[in-house]
Amino acid sequence: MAVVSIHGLTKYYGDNLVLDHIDLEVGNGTLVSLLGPSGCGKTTTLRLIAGFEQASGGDIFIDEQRINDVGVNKRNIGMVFQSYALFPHMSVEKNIAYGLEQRKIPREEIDRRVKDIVRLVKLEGFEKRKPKQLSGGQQQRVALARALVIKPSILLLDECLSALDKKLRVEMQVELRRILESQGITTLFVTHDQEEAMTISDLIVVMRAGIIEQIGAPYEVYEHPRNRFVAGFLGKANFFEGKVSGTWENGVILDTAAGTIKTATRETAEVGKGAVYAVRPEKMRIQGEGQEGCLQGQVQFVTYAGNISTYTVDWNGQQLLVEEQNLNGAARVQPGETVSIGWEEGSCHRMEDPVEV
Amino acid sequence: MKKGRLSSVLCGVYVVCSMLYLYVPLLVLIVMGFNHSKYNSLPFEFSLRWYEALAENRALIQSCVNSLYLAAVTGVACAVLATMMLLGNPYLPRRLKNLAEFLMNMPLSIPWLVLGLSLLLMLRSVDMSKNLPFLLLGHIVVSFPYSALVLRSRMQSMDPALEEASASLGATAMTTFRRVTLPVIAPAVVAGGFLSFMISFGNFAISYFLIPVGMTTLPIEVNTSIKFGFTPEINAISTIVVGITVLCLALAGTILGSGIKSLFGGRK
Repeated sequence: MAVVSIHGLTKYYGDNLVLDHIDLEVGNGTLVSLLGPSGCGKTTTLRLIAGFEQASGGDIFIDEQRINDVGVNKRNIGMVFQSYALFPHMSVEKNIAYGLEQRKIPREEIDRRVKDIVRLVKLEGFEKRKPKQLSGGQQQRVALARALVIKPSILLLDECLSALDKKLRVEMQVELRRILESQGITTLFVTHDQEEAMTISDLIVVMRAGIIEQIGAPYEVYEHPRNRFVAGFLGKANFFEGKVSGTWENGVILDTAAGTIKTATRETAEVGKGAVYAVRPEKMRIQGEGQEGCLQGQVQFVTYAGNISTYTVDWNGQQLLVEEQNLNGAARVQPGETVSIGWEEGSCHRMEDPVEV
Repeated sequence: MKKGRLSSVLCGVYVVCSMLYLYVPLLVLIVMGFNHSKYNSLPFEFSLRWYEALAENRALIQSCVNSLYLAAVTGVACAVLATMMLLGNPYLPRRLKNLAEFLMNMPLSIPWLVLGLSLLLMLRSVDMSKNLPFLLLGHIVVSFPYSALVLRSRMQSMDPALEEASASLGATAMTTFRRVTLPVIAPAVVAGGFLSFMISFGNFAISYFLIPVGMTTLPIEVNTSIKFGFTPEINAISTIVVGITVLCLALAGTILGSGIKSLFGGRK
């Protein structure tokens, strides 16, 4: 268990800036996800902490000790690779014992600890198998056991669930949480899968192009995204961009390219200034008879997905997505119908992105 | 349907013909080794006289032993050198890396004749007589690219994260090499060494130029005997060589499995 602090971490590959002065604190025993599209610098951050790469600038501290110049093998980190990187010529138990053997731990203790961790990851009976004779999920558990058994100060997980199929991945997410909570280990998890990040993390760090866009709890990042990138990367969002032309009791009046919209929001902006607002599809409601919505549009498509239906609504040329639960089985409206759409004040958030008017 | 059958028959004929072309001469050589006739001529009359004669033929046996010795040292040297080279290669700057790769494969595209001659001229220019170490060096130069090629394909398919995983678990670079890298690439090291062994064993051109006075190798001895009275003893020793080769391949195949497969470019 340990605290990881990163200050001004910077990395160049040649002239290419891949990490630009990253600051990050990972608290004791927490699970922090680095989330972002490929090329955002999340894996580089992980590899710098692991010591596989040298930082071009900035400092990395584990429990207040600066580790920039400490060799990989002296950092006491546990790493689970995307490819698992199990030693193909060693059995499951030999793989797991490897790290303990490097630490010159007596044989009896190695055997005991290997046995304990094998039980924790539920691999009893597979000790003598070679990695090739295991399924993807089992290999994953071996990789995790091998990283955990050395009692690392921090655990680094590099997209380690992405190779599994969807059902197994969801199972492993739950399993991972169970195992990590039982060990109370500080964990840094790299993923490009926003759903995965939401499910297992205490804290999500959204990255883009070498910088951190937002740090927060899953709820916070999803419900209160700071900008268009975060709102669009974690889930879907409808954006309204334009000039604020006035206010009303429940929000602002916004002149956009597609028309004027009377949006309900708590986050007002100065009249005359540009602003961009975001509303998540599931927060939008197709209003019934007699209810006044924020805008009127025509339904273009309906996508039925079992539990929910997604309506693509054309609002003066701008496409909006509205999601509703299928409470009564089928979709509520059909393509071609004109609908009124509304939302709660608390569901419409102003993005920090600057808007030219 | 009918057309499909015709083409598959033609395919079969083609394959059989190719195989016959490859292996019938070898079969003739082996059979004639057991023929009584001195001139490899028919009718066939079974006899072991050429094997008896071979047992008496000191020169031929000595040449075979020389060849084996030369090839063994070459094979081991090539395997070790290729491993060292390919392990170090990723750490070179890009431009140097490409140059190293180019130089490594160069002997493949230079005719052995030219290589042998140039080595001999170099020897002369420093005023040295032909000697065994230099002959060995010549063999290593021409056999090395084969080891390197086999090993490189294996190393390229090796997950670089394996070494990183080992380091992250606390292993030093030396331990990582000994316990992770080497065991993973071992089949390819052996396969590569074996290929270099075979290249060296059958090499005539380099040996011809560089062989020290009074020494002989099997290819040179066979060449000489063709000029000065060929006897089926040559068939006999060739048969033994083929037998040993097949045995080695089978043995290596069972022990190392994947090693021989990677020798023939199969999957790991």
